[in-house]
Amino acid sequence: MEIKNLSFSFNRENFFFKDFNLSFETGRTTVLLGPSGCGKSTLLKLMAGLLQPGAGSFVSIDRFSMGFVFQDSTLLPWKNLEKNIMLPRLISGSKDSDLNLELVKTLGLIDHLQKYPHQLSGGQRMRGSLARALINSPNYLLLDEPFSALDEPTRNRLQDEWLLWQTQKKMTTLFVTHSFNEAVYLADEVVILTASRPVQARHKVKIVRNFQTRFEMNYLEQVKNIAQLFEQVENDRKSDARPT
Amino acid sequence: MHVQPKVKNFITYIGVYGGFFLWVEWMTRTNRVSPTLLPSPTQLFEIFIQQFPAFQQAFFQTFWMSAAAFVLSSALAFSFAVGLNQLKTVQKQIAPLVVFLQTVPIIAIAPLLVIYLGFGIPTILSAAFIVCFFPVYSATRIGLDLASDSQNELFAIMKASFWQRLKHLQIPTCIPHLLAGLRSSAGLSVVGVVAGEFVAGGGLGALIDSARLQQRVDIVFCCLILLSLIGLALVYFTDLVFTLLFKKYFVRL
Repeated sequence: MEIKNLSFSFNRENFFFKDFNLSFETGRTTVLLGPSGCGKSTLLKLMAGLLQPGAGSFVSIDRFSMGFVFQDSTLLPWKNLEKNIMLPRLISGSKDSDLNLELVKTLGLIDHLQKYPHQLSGGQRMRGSLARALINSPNYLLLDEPFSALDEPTRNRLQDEWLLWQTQKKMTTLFVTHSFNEAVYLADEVVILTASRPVQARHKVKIVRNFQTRFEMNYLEQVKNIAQLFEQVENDRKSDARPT
Repeated sequence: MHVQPKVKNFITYIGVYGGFFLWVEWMTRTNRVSPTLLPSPTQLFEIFIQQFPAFQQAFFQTFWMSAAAFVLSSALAFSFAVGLNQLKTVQKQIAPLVVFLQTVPIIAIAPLLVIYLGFGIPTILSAAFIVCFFPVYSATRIGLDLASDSQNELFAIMKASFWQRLKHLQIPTCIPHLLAGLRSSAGLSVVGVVAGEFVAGGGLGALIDSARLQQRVDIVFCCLILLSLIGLALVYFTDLVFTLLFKKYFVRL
């Protein structure tokens, strides 16, 4: 997964992205961090093909082998969970009509397949959304703040489950979040974007996964480091915005 | 004492409407209102029994016309709105025509319909068709575009075709709005049929017209009650079909 010379603008005057370059390691999780409005979700949508990049841009991702998870679960209320999970197969016309039971079991959804989304908790809906993104065994996964709307215990549990899944499956994943803790806990690499226009990838930090829980010093120190780098970006933005 | 909600509703209906009829009966019997202006419920019942064959024939004629116009116009309005969903430019071009059909009083168009289509069923059906069309077309048109941004993006990511998007996203999203349009249309179909019958003859519309000439308020009131029964039957039938077939589409997260 790679982005080369990406350019994009919403209004043809101010470039949102210009000559933006970023590469992602295969089988690893890259987390995009940045101030509100810095273009994290826009970048994800460009990669997913939901927005069209400008001429000369190069975004290498096989869109037929990609899963996408939105901030809200996006489950269709009129389909039960099983049919929601199987939706990508239905749309792609896949002849494989068997549900991936391993996936469903891992995500703790096996007992809820016949339920409709309104009968599920927020965490179960998000698990359903993850299962739908993973049902076609994609090579790439793009996640747009998937856990941000959940309460903290549910979010922590889902992060643990996701980490376990990712450790086994090693999917190339691009994860957008605004939480430093989540970024360090889930990422192999954190990319911090600037809020200025055009957007740049200011910092690229490798996460050393030498912690088991989110309470260890090794973890907390890395969160502190990310927070400091983020503060630098924020300070740069404030000084840019200050009248001269 | 615990009373089932449905029983409670029924008792409330009986209480409200029974009380109203008793009040009218009392008003007319005590000569507070002239029976030539407002006939009593017992008087209406008597005239209904006396002229039952005429009422029965007119009722079924109007009922079947209303039902046919309702079904035909709803099916066409829905298909039309779905067909034009991808043709936004055409949709905009025909918008004034659709509004025209909705805003011009049907009673003003009905004489034209008689000239073009003659007396009888085609004129009655056309009059009802014109008034029934807009609510379903409008509700469908709006409902088809009401999927959330993320749902639309999900279907874009899955590379869904036009038909897949229509079948699995747009029509299910549209169904609650469609019901609102159909309920309006069901009531309006009776209005359209009566307007058609006024000029083209037949049914309760013609019965009302002849009663009007004879100053027979009692017959007019009997016809109005029968017309409201037709409207109620069509609305409740629509509700029933939607409850039985499409209940799951009314759930929102």
